[in-house]
Amino acid sequence: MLSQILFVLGAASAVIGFGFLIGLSQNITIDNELARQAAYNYDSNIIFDKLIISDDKTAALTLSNKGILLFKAIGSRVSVRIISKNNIEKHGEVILFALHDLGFPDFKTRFHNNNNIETLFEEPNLGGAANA
Amino acid sequence: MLDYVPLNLPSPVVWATPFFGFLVITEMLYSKFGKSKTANYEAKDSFASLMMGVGNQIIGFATASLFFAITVFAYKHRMFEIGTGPIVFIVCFFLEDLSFYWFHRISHESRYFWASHIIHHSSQHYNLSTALRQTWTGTLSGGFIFWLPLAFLGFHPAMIGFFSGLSLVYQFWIHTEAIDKMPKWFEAILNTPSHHRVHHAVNPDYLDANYAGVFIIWDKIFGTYVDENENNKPKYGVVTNIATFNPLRIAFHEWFGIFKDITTAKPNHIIGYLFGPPGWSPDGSRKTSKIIKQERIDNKTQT
Repeated sequence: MLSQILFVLGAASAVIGFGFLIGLSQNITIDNELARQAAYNYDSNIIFDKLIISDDKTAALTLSNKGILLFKAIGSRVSVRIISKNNIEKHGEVILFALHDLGFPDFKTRFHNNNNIETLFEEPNLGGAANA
Repeated sequence: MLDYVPLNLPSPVVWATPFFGFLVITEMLYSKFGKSKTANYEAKDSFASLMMGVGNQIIGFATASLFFAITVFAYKHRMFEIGTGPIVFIVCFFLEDLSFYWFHRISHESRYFWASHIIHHSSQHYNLSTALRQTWTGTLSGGFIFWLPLAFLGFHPAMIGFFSGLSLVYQFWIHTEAIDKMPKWFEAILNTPSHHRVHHAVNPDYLDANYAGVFIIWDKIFGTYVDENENNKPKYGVVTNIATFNPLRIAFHEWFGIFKDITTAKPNHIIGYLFGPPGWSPDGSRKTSKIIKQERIDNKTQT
């Protein structure tokens, strides 16, 4: 039994090593268009207000229902969650997104040179356009 | 209680492991250097998938005795004495596949079983390494109950285990975008990459479809078959995608979600959270696949 486990483990290690070796690691940067596409793929009925790009890996979109659509780059894909403002804490320029979701770990991010941080805590602009 | 005579059959999954490795590497090379250059591999994602596969095998070895003991118990109380002849083998092959269909379907329709099966769907990529992204909690959560009727009927536990393994090996090669369509006769009878891409897709038109293991005929019989539409390219993953490559988080995130829901729910909502369809909530604030599909139909009607 142990030899079978080692055999499977060895085969898996070889494959993983090979993947990294030929450069299959990809990372994307979230931009306005990507976030917009992800939002519509997530829910075509979402009415959103303002998009705030954080670092390359994070963006937040304020929604007309006072929620926030959070985008996080994961390798070459984007994961999206709707979160409430209760799950966001502001510590100076650092924002903590606490989702309490094992599949979408809590994380902190810094909104570099971005004056729009306060937007996350503002009341929604119902007439807002779907742009950044 | 009837007698039990051991029957030694090989483990198809262990035998196939070198081929899995070889084919994943081949597909990696194809995706990187092939003509189409379909960038459908992500090293960290494949790493996570392979770790889930390794964990599945290790836990599988550790829990095999549980599965085996319960199945042997059922076999000792079998209804018919059908033996282990060639015809029994052939019948077992089909009935095992039918059992898989229902196991797989319920794994998508009930959150309790979905908590184990979501692991397999948690990658946003679709390639051969995704096939190896397997559950760690399937046996412990009792997924094997779907095969117990076969043992009660009189099929030998080793035979059931053998065909179950063979089905997993068959399903490996269909996790690819490198193959478009197989010949028509093949597509009509057997599960193919095209059919299974639909199954892994989160496009509303494709949700809850193509549960087949080896034979696609079960989906056609039970009304869950959906053809891949070339104008509706599959988007892979789950409705609420995870944002982690950590194998432990992948393995347990839905169980954690269930725990969180039932510990904060009113008593009369616990059953719904546990056994209702994934996305069920008492106030309808979350979306089940049925709701997502209905919204899609409503949108189509409006436009």
